[in-house]
Amino acid sequence: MARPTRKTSTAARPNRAPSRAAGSKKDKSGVVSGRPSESIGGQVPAPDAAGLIGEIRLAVGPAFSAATRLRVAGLNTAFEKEKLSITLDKPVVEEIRELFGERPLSASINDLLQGALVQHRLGLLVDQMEEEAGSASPEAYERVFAQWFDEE
Amino acid sequence: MVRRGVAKAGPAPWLSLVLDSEGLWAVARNDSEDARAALSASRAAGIPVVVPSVILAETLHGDQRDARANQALKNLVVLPTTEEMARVAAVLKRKSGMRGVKATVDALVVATSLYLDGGAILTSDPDDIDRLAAAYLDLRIRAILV
Repeated sequence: MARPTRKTSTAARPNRAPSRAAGSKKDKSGVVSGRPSESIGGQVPAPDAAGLIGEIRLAVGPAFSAATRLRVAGLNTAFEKEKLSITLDKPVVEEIRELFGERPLSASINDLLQGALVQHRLGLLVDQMEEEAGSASPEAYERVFAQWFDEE
Repeated sequence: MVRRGVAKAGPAPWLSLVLDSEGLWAVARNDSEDARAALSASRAAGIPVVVPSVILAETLHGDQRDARANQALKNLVVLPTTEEMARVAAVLKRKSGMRGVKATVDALVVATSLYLDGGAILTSDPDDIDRLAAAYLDLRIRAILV
């Protein structure tokens, strides 16, 4: 995966591929098959082996097929493409190829850029919110994080 | 007085942040310090902040009252609700014993979080979200109150 130290998704589909490069498969359309859609291709785990995720997959059934996913406009159907000729640093290209394996380089770079743009836009939003109302206090961070770590 | 930069966000420990209707409005109105903290921490961690498309139907008015929400949405990821997510949501409802339209929307929010490998959900109704998420034990999903 692209995450060197922790598991982070860079963006929602279709731009979350970098975080899943090593742990998930992609079909020809660029669709990531990961949880809860790892059963694409009919490899549905037995409920007793996979626990609740397996049970849910069995209950959902055909909805996990790749064909179904492809019908969903705006999620994983291809955007219009523009063919470009760009020059990149060789180490960068090598690292991307290593990261994404045999996946087409264009698709890999596209996903990385989409993820970066998602984060850029989020940064704009947070900056705007903080400009309007100020940064959140340390107490606010504590409250929010406490809810995440709360085991109840 | 603007206190920009006073508090520094630590990186969020969650893998994604999903907004439900109140979560989206908290961001749009920018009246929740905790929402700002959750978004800022998400940015620091480089994780996506996602709005399920079904939330737009629940939240927006379809007129000029949506201006602030639309401004926020421009910089968030709107994730279409798929058949796959809808079917997962149905299972979550059954397993949690919840019914009704509100439970359906909440279940779709949780299903979206599942699609993103789990994470935090910014909501005004953490009890229902936690109840639905508890039906799915493989991934960590936690509601964060705004």
